[in-house]
Amino acid sequence: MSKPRVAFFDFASCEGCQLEVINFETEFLDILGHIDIVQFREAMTECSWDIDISFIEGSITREQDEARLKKIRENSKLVIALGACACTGGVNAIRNHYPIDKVKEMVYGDKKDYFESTLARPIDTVIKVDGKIPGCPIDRFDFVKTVQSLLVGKGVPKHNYPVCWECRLNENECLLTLGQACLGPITQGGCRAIEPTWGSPCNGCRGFVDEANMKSAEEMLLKHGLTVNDLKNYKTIFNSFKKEGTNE
Amino acid sequence: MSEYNIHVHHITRVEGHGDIHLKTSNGAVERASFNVVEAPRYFEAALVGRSHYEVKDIVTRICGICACGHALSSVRASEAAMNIEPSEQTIDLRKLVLHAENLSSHLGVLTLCKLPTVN
Repeated sequence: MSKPRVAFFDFASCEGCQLEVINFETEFLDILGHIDIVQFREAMTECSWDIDISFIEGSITREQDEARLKKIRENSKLVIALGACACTGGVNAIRNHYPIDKVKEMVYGDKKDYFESTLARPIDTVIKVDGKIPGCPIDRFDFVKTVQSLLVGKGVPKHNYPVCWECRLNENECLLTLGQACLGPITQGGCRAIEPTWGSPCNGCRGFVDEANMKSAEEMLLKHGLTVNDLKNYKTIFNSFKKEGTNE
Repeated sequence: MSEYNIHVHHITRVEGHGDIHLKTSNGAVERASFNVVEAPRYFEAALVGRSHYEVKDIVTRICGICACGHALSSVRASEAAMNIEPSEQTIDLRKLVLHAENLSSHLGVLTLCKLPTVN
């Protein structure tokens, strides 16, 4: 059986998720024994459009991005969203809280029309996506697990449990009890609870678990000294994008 | 762009999107232009109304290579706004973080992005 042909693409993002892949020294070399990378602009010049699996980083923020994204979909058997920007809109979507014209003016003043920009959206608002690897940045071990799973013909693993689960496995002291506002109880795990393990509260970069008890989480966070406004902001660092007509 | 006769669309093996256009005649470059075609992300607007402790979480996402640089400059800005003087030890530790990041970035770009294609 020939090796799957894999490509990496990026839209509005910091390209840090692709960097996580490139920087994953030994394990990445192992993966290279099982796949052929046919397009990866950040790491190589060669380029082919005959693709089995595309990993796409970044949010869609312009009409020209939509055309490029559709071209990638047409040429790929599987499309996997890579990282928060592609999965939930990430930090790019914070600006969606203001009218786009005002946002452009805030940053570029009277030169605002030099740049085309619309709402920042996750890629599944434009094309069908076969799986998501969330996180800002992605967890490199989660990436390897996903590739393994795809290679044996299974879907992308979904981590529908809160960060607290893995945090407990690491035997961390709960940051909430230390008076820090942590979004661990409502945020999707799979990141080995990396932030709380290193003493920084979870900021929800992997998106929320299904059926997260928002009301209870809010009450708990308020108990730990955050104001309603702080809490509202904190929850929207990575989860600002709202599908039209919903509160999701 | 029709007057230019060499077009490089999306330069490879670098972080970010850039295009190069060159106009040549008789083997000499007459005009050259470099366009940054990256989608703007409007971080300045995203920070309006945010608390200081959220700012570092947001600005570290400006760049995947130099997140520490952005985190530390945002912390400096917050300190300046609140009239906080960091200790000499804190400043030294921050410099250490910056140098470590610089080293990691240079080694990564050199050995993983550039050298593999040098014959």
